[in-house]
Amino acid sequence: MAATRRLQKELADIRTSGMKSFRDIQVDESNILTWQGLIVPDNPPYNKGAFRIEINFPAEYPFKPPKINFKTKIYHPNIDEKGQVCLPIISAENWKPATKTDQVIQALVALVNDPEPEHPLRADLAEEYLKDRKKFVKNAEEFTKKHSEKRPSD
Amino acid sequence: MINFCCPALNPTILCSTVSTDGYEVTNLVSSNADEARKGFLAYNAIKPPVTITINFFCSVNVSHIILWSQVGCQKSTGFEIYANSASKSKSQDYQKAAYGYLEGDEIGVIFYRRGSYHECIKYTKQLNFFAWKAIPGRTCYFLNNAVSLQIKIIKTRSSVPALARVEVWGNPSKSCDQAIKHSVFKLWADRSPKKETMCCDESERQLQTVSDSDVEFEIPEEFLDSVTCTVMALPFILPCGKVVDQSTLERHEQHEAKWGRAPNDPFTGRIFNENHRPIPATSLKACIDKFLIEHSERQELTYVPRTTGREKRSRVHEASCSSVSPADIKLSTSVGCPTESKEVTCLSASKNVYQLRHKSPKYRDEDVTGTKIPDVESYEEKVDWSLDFAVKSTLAGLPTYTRFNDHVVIQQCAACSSDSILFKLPCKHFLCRVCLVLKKESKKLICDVCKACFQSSDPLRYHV
Repeated sequence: MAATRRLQKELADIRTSGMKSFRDIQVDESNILTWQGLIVPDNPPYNKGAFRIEINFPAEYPFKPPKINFKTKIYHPNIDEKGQVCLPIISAENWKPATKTDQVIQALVALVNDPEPEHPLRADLAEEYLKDRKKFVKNAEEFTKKHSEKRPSD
Repeated sequence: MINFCCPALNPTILCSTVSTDGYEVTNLVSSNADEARKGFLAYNAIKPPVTITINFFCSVNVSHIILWSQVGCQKSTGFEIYANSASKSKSQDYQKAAYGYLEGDEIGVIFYRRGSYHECIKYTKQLNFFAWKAIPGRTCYFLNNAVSLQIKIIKTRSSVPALARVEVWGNPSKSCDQAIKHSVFKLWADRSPKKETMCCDESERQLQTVSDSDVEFEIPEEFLDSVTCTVMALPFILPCGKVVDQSTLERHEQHEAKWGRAPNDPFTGRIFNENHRPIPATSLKACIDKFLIEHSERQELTYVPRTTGREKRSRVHEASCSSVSPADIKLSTSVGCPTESKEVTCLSASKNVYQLRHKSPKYRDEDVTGTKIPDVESYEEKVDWSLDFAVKSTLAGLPTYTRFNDHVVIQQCAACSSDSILFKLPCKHFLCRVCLVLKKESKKLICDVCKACFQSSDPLRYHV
């Protein structure tokens, strides 16, 4: 499978580089096409927790983009209740085979830290984010405390 | 411990019967890897028993004897071992030491002394396909001071008596001179180490070096496609400077075409045009090909699509792989021929590869798996040979409708040079019918060339 070698290399690179915002990468040895990891955002209101995501690579990777899913519920205008996320860099149309997974993760972390209410998946949250930021932050913090995973200690 | 059948120790070997051509009994102690690989086969009309006598360099305290009994499909299934401790060997001096029969799929037999059982038990890790036979204690004296051994093949599995390999392990016996012992150990130490894998310590050491080389083995970064991270078969340099494989470019192009976009750089997205397009990286290709040929036996590289052949595994190496049965070896050599000739075409296509190989003799020493890259001369000879062989074998496979006549010279009448209806005279000269009739009428039955007389009944009609 063409994807295997590239994914092995990317996984090794990410693990050695030690990204602070993406931790605890778990890959099933029998299936390197599915990765799980913990997103650790820095900005409030999400800096109180960590969010588990799953990255699914198609067999045609790197010619087709990976898909990202949130396994942890998150109060975010760009991430819907099912955990789907709208990330332009991995849309089928914009995808470039040269794009590395760490770039994708960086883009995702940036999106989590700074929501883009202009392209929302949840219009209600986007509206709240734009019109009543205080209320949004309060709700998001409460939601994070309730649902998110524990942040890694270091 | 020492293998006294090692060619370095000059054992002499004799057989009681004739052998099949190319499978002489001397193959068993030959230093030529090719011969050693073939083993011994008796002539195909010979039936057991067949006695093979091995005389050693000095008297030997035999520890164990290993016999590989299968040559191709020919397999011996019963052996007897006789030992002789007197320096002047007479057949009646030989004492029967042990016997053993093979069962099922066992590929050989190991005769061991009780005391040395633990030494040989190590082999079972690698070679569980042997029959194990203990040598009874009463023959101790002969085996402690064996000057020669007889191996008698007493049974075969409906085949010709065969013996692929013999190893007699032991130490110089106590009665030997210090000087002789010393020279034996020296010869053993000086022997080419690759030819013996059966020594326990050594096989362990070899295993270790193999695993070491596994760790060291790394595909150079520049040979990897920067998109798929696989070894490239046809590298192309992109306008952005990155190198990718042609297959990657094609797939990228396909995916881009789905979005209605023209072929572009997978890194920058810039559309290719006359001045801005991928260029074949020929010198890199040559380096990759060289690398692939040299490491063709690597598991990691088997997935790489081939524009090159695979280097034929050196015969020395094959011979040293004791676990490989002769049938396997035969298979691999016969497969080796066409691939080798394929390699030639590749070499002539990209001469760089050849020159690189030619210029860097260090590669011969560096080889990781212990395969020996043949010298250039012998390599060329091999190439010549393999080409000849390939041509011959191809031609031989084709049906022919013409008879190959040695005398293709067109025969003609010695008198009038016509070639209409010819008759052959006893002196092997020719005459046409017209001239012959004239001669007969004139009653001068003499050949025009050699003036030899002949009878009217002698000329024979010659058919072309």
